Amino acid sequence: MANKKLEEVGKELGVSEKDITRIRRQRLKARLFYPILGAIIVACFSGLGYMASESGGGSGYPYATPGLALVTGPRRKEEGFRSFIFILVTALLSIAGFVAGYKAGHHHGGSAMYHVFSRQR
Amino acid sequence: MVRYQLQCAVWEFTLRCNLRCSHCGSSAGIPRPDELTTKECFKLCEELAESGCEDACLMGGEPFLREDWFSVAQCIKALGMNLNFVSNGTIMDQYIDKIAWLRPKVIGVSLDGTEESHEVIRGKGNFKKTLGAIDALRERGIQTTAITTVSKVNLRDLPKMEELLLKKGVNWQIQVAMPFGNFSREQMLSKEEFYATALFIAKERTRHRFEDLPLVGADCYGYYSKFLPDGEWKGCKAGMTAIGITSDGGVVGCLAMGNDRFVEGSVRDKSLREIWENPGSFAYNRKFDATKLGPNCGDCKHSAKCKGGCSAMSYTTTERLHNDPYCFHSIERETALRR
Repeated sequence: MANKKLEEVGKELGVSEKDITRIRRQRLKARLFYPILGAIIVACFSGLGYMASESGGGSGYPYATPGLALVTGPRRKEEGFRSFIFILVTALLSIAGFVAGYKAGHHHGGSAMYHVFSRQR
Repeated sequence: MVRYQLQCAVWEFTLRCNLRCSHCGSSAGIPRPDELTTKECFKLCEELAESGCEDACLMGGEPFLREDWFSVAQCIKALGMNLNFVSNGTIMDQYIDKIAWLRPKVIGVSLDGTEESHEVIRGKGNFKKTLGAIDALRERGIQTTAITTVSKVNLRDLPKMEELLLKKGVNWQIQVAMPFGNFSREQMLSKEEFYATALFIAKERTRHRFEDLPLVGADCYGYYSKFLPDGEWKGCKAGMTAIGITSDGGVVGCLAMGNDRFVEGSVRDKSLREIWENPGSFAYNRKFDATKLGPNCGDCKHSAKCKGGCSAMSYTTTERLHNDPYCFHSIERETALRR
């Protein structure tokens, strides 16, 4: 029902049924997918931080970054390698998180009325 | 006490204009009788910078008609603020090198449709000049935003404009013409047409990468839709982070509110900081509470956050604030869309 009505409303401006589906999918992504992905990333980040901190002899706050834990913690070679993997994974997840955040952020625009929109905001 | 930080000032640099656009909210054309002098403009620039203002936007009327535009723009830059302009683009060719030299953050150029409707609104012979200005700005690498003010006159041009603007590599800002100044209420979009333009924006955002066509709806587009991606609107920014300044020194929350009753003071009588920090200033937004909501918003579950939508839209259409009828949430509620 809603899709039909939306299509009817937007018809004059070339909004098709396919567009409505895409709009709804994009909205769903912004509302659910990106926040959930973000939450997973944060959880992983914290978990990795905790594990790295543990591997460094348990010193430091549980949520310290793996990088910090690497500097202060591991002594043995294999621990150093493990921490390196943690950092790599965390960095990759952070990049994924940034991209997700960026996409979510650009999903909705905004500009003050009577001001002018610019891309460096 | 809450401290408000000014971020953006939209400055009606002069009311003088070479065009007489049918939707102009400022009824621009003839300059105000007592516009700020160059010296007063410099002082205002200093006060803006002292207030920590990040963005100063010179608009009009047509800002490039003031003879001292370059020196005032230079002053804005020298004080470390971002410089922006909004122009009709018709006389920009004379000044393009000077503009490029200033390195503005962005220039908004009004483009209201295809040639026919643009010229119905803005007068004969202006479409090509405006397009020429956009091209000249892009050739010089200046970030440019085409601003389209939508009414019944140009609503159906939006799909054609998309084709044009995609090739130009500009940002595109769509906003709704509001019934004040020259603009007649009869030409205003109906709520359904308004919603259709929002669907159009959303559609374009799914069809193109944002980098290819950075298309946004202005602050009059929202709020709390069940279908449309509209972000989280947390209330009008007038007097919270933004101000408008009239060409004779009046300070308002937003120039689009179009009524003298919203002038909080003049920079001729008081410093900008005094006006900004006065506990009574911008009370409609700073001292908002649920009792101020109008009948359109009173029973809305989002009203505490939304605060009744766009102040300009609300006031110009209903003569009261916090009562914006052009709202996705209420339109969806009124139509069959939520069933």
